[in-house]
Amino acid sequence: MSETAGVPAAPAPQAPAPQAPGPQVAMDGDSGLPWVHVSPRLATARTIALLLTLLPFALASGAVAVFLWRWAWVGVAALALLALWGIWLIRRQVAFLTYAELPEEIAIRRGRMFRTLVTVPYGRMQYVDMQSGPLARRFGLASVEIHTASPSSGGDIPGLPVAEAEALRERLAARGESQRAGL
Amino acid sequence: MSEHHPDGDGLRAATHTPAPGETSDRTPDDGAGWQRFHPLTPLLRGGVMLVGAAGYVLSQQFDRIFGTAPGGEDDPIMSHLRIAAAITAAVIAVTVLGAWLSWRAARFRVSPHAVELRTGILFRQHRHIRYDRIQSVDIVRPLIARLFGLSEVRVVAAGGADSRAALAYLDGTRAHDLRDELMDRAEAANAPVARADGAGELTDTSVGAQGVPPLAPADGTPAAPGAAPTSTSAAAAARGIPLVLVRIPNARLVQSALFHGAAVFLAIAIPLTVAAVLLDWPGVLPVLGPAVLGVGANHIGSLVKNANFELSQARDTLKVRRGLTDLRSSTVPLGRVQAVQMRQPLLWRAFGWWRMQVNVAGVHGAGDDEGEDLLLPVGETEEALAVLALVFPDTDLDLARRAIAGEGPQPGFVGAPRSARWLDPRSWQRRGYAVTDHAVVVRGGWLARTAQWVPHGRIQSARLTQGPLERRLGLADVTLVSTPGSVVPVIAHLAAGEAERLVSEQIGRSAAARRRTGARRAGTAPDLAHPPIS
Repeated sequence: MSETAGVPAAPAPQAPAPQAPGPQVAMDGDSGLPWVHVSPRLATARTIALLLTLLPFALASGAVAVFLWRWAWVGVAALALLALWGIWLIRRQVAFLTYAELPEEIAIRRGRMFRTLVTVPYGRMQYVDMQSGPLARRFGLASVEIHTASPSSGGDIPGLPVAEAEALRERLAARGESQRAGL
Repeated sequence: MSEHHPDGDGLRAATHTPAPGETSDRTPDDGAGWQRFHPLTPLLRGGVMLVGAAGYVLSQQFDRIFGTAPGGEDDPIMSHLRIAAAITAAVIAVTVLGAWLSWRAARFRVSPHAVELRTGILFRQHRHIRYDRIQSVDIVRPLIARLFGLSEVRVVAAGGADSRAALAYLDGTRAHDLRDELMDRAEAANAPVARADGAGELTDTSVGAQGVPPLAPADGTPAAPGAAPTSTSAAAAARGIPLVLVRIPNARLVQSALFHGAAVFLAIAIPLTVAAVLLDWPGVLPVLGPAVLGVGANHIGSLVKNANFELSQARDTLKVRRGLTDLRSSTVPLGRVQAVQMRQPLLWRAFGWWRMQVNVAGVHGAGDDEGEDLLLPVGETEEALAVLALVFPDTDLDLARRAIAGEGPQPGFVGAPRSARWLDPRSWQRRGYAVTDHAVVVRGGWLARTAQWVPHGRIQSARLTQGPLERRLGLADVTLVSTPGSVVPVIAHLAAGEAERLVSEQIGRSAAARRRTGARRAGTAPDLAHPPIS
C-alpha cells in the first residue's frame, strides 16, 4: 500500500509531485520565501527590560562595594559584562527572528546558536491571540500567538508593530477558518 | 478541539428548571428529558466515609477482643472513643445528607445536540458537551460502586479537566446503553453527511442488536422508523457484538512486570534496604526506603490496574476493559487517534513483547487519565501489529516490522548520518524515519526500542531544532508535534539537509492528507476509512 520516501507513489495524489516542488523551508538563507523580520524595536524593548532587571542588583552590589567590601566591584563588573552579553544576544535573537506566510502554513524561525524552525499549518490552528505587555505597548509592539491542539507547537511571533500584528491575526484567522481540518 | 468552555454555548436557552419533587429516576421526569441518577448515588458518594467508619469500628472491636484497650464504663479512653465515634457518625450523616441533596439536584439529559449535566444546589452548574466535541465516553466502576452494580459514565471533551462530565451513578446496563448512545451520537455529529440518515442509524443502535429498548429516550431526535441504516451488515455485526481482539493473560502481565526496570531496581534495592535495617548502616534507609516504596507501589499499582486487560472493537471504537479492584473501561474512537507508539523495554525483547500507546485528542494520559492511552500493556508482536493495522488501516506491515526491529540503513528508512555517533554513540543506528502514503514512521531507541506512527493529516505542526554542537556536526532534530500524550514523535540527529527536506515535504504531504480527510468527511463514504476488521 505505501511507498517509501524515495519512491514517488504513482496512483496516490501525493502533494509534492504535482504541485511543483512546494515551498522549501531552510534554516539558512531565504530560499525564495517571503521571510519577514520582526521589528527591531523589539530589541530595544527587550534591552530595556534586561537593564531594568539587572539594575537593582548592580546598585546593591555597588552600594556594598562603596560602604562595606571593595571586592564587590567585581560583582558590578560581572553584571556589566552580563548586560553587554545580553544586549548582544538580544540583538542577534531579534535579527534572526523571522516568519513567512506560506500558502498552507506559517513558518517561524528563531535563534542563532540554538535554532528553531516551526511550521504550523493554517488548518491546524485552533485560535490566534494577540498580546501586548506594558513595555511592548510603549514601543507599539504586540505579539501574535498561534495555538494548535498541542501546547508544544510553540507558534508565537513577538515584536510585531501593532497594526501589522492585527492584520496578521486577521489573515491567520481567516485562513484558519477556510482551511480548518478536524482533529 | 474546543476553544470554548463546554458550558455556555448552544442550548442553554432551551433548558428549563424542572419543578421540585419529581420522582423516579428511570423515566424522564419532564418533557425536556431530564433524568436522575441512581438513588443509591448519595450512599456511594459517602461510601469512602462509610468504609472508613466501618474500619474504625472494627479496629475498636479488635481492641476489645484482644484486650489491649482496658474495658470499663468509666475508662477515660473509652469515653473519648465514644465522643470520637459520635463525631464520626455525625460527619457521615452530614456527608450522606449533602450527597443526597446534591443527588436530588443533579440531572442529566441527552438532548439533540449535546449531553447536559446540571448539578449543584447553591452554586448551580450546567455543563454542556456538544456531541461533536466529545472525544471519548468511558465507564468507570470504583470498587464500592461495583459491589452495587453501578457505574459512572464519564464524558470527555477536548480541552482539559474542565471539559468532562461525570454522570454518576447509573446501573450497569443503563450505563452501557448510555455510553453506546453517546458514542453513536458523537460519531454521527462528526460525520455531517451521514446526518441525513444518521437519525435512522441512531434509532437502529439504541434499539440495539441486543434487543434492549432504549432507556434514554431519543428526545427530539426524529425516530424515523423506516429510515434505512447506512452501514453495511458487517459493520452492524461489529456494532452489535463487541469483538474481543486481544485478551492479555494475567500471567503474562505478571511476567512482564518482573522483566521490567522497576522490578530489577526492586530486586537490588529491597535486599539492600533490609540489610541496611538489619546491619544498621547509616544513610541508606532514608535514601532507598522512599524510593523502594514509591517504585514498588507504582509498579504494583499499574499491575493491578492493567489486570484482566481486554481490548475489543465495536464499530469505530476500541474499548479497553481492565482492572482488578476498580474495573475501568475506556473507549478510543479509531478516527481520533493522533499517533501510535510501540515500545519494547530491553528485557522484553526475548519475549517479543510490546507496549502500545496512543495519543487521543482530549485524553492526556496523565494524572487521572493515567493509562487511558494504553492499547496494550504487554502484547506479542503479532497482536501489536494487528492492533496497529486496525488503528491505521493503511499501515505497511512489512515496513512496521522493519521499524520495530531494524537497525542501520534499511530500505525506506532515512537514518542518522555517521556523524551522529558523537552525540549518540549507540542509538544513532536505530534512529530514523520512513514516509508512507499515510504516515511518518519514526524508529528509535537502543536498549528500549520504540517505533511511532503519525499520520500526515494528524501532525499539528513541525519543528526543526539545531543546537551549536549539532550545527558543527551538520545535524538537526525534527519534532512532529502531536496532541499532548505519551507519544512524542521526535526524529533526532538527522543530517541537517535531510531534516529541512523532511519538514518542507511534510508541508505538502500534511496539507494533501488534510484535504483528503476533509473531502471524505464532506463527501462520499464516511466509513471507508475503517473497514471491519479482517
